[in-house]
Amino acid sequence: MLKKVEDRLMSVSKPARYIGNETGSVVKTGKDSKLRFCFCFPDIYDIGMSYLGLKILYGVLNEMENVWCERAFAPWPDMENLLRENGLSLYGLESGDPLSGFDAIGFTLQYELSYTNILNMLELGGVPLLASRRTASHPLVIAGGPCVCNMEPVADFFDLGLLGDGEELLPEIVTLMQKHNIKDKANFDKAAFLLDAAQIEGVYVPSLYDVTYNDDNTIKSVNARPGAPAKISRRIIADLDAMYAPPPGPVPYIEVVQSRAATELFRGCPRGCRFCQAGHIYRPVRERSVDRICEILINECRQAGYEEMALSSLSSSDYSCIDDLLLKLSDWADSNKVNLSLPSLRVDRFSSGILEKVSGVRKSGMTFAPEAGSQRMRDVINKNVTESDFVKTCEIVFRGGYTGLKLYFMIGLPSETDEDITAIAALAQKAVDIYYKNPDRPKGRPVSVNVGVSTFVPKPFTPFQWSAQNSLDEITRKQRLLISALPGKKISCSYHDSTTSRLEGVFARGDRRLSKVILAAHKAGCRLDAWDEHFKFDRWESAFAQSDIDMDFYCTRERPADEIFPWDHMDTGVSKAHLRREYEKAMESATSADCRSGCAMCGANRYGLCKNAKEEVQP
Amino acid sequence: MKIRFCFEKKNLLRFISHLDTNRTMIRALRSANLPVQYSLGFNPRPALTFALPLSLGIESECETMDVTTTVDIDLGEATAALNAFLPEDMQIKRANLAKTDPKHIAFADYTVTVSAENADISAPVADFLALKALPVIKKTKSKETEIDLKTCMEILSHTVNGNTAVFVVRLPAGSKDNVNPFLFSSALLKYLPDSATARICRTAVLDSDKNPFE
Repeated sequence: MLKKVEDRLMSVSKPARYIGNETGSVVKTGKDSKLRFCFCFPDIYDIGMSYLGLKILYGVLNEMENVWCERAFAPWPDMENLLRENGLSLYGLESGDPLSGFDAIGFTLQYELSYTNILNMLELGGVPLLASRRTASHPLVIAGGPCVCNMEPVADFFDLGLLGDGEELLPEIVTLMQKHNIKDKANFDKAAFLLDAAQIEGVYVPSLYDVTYNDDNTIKSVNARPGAPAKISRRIIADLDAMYAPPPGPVPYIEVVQSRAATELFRGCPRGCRFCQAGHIYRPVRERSVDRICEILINECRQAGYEEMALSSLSSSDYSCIDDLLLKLSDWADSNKVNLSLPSLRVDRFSSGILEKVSGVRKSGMTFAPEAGSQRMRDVINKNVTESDFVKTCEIVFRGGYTGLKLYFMIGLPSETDEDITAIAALAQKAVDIYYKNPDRPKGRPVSVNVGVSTFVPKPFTPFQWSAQNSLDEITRKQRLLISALPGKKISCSYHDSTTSRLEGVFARGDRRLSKVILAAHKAGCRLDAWDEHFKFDRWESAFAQSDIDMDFYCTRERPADEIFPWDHMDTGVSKAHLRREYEKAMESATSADCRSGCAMCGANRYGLCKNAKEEVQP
Repeated sequence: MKIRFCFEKKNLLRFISHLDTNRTMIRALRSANLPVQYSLGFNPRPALTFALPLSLGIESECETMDVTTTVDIDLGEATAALNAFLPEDMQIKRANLAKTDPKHIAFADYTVTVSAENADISAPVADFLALKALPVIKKTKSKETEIDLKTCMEILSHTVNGNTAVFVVRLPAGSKDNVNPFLFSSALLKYLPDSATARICRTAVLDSDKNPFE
């Protein structure tokens, strides 16, 4: 690290965010001969270091002998000021070298509100923001992660995007960079490299596509340039057992959001909840074996000394061998004083057995997501959770000695009425009643039910991609309606600022024209937008006005069935026809079965991996 | 068996806090699979004692961590296993059975290195040394008191070489009367050009008879 940074680091909060040097961080010698890659997480260290994907890709790349992968995170404003005031550059934590000196920089696009952090990090790293301004001597800037399925709003800033699982794809790209002699800056032919890269399945080179628009601002066509594929297919890893499992990776010194051993039970989700993007873009379901999961987690706990292990997936209780897995893991965890954490539990797949294994010693609270209050609304979103599932689960939880329950709901869902909103309050009250019906409840301890309400944001590649998002006024009205409907002190309610959801909605279904808005917002000082204390909606509003772009066009507009979407040239597996069928079923409040009980021919079986597929769907 | 591990905390690791150090040591002990005694209660944790917690920003050659094991273990092997986990700048230097009770800690020695960019500091350092009294404000959680550093500290040595000066100071330390070396370095920096920075390293912890804490 530069002495200039070091001498001033005591003036910032949590300086350990900026020093690297953790156990498990990788420092390689002979750096001039290595391909230098910097994995950038566009939020602060505390968030980024909790991200499983970082650990995996950091491990994969550093396994490669001629590659050195480092990390960088968005600085907190005090550190940003330190860097700017002293003319210093954002650097890779391992070497302390400025981002501008790397051969390639990879950002993970986890959520739309991190987009300004990307620009800020590039700027602080001395890297030109626009891909068109970067020459062969600048680092290549690569995007990965879920938002790549519609990265159009940030298309101008990236040289390429990687769609799908990165464990094999990223090493292939890095190998291609080496083949093109990227380190020989004087002779590296960036255009030739990008055209070659575009031939690899899962690679999207935005500059190879031209978008034309209709007079009403909708998209007329997306045209691939010569040599680029018309559609970009998502890369997937078929066998999770054979897939590379990384070493524990850097073990943070400071307390980050999640500092624990973690691994995936499966990728994809069999459910098909209609609001959920992850449930659609990661299909098909691919499970990992019990033995492999145990091996990975136990190994990680041993090597990193973690006191907690977590099973990660979109719906842990849907794992086919969950009982067997919990039995094996909890045996080991108990005798080694490790806590077992099982997030993403479903209301309808809950048992006292699971409760016992995850409860540990402190019985504070359990969290579930019914998502909607009324049965009609839950049918519209295809949550497939009934009120009796809910009642049964509450009974198990309270009989297990818990006194707290956290329930997540969404408001602003398609076709929602005021009755659907007040039904949320009624469902929460039901939980309170169940608590007091339990004769064995802890005496003298009141129940506390927390209702967490988020604003629904329609996402690409979901059946609701055609749907209008509620306006700000409408959301505020519904929030007030809910608060007024909540009875008594036993139920508390927390909800998010609806302006962040509005912005998220614009970028989720946005197109390329939004790059200039993001640039303008960045110039106006917008950053760390996911942090309430830093989010400045008024600056965003002026950035939109200045760019002559209307947020409502992206948010509150119901799209016609035949509209060409900005993301139509991306192919995640699930077909647009299936999504439309699901949209129409939603409008009739009709549910669909999950993939294990009946194949809906969503299109994801083109990889031939679905166990219950009805028939092969042609790509 | 109550083992006292002596470890160093150097360079960039001065930026990790006492709590971070504690967490890192717990992980090291767990990954080394040592038979550590856990605390009782609802949330059992390895029972560790750090005799004299180090402030954020200060380096050390002589931090101690007391660990009780449920069975006797080989100290050399335990040290090697911990060092395999610990980063290069936070290695265990030695291990012995705990001798001194932490409540007997009375002094600590620090090396304070100050340097200024391109400025000779011998004159201001001489001015500083000639001071008769050195009043500083000592802050605790509950109150602020003014103390005179001259009456409680001992400058064991000092050298000045152009833009750099190195002081070795002995300050009261321990649970009764503790003086943070930042009080000394910030008093000193007031006499130096704005570009001057200080680096502090704890070099010894002593009992009231000035014997090393072991």
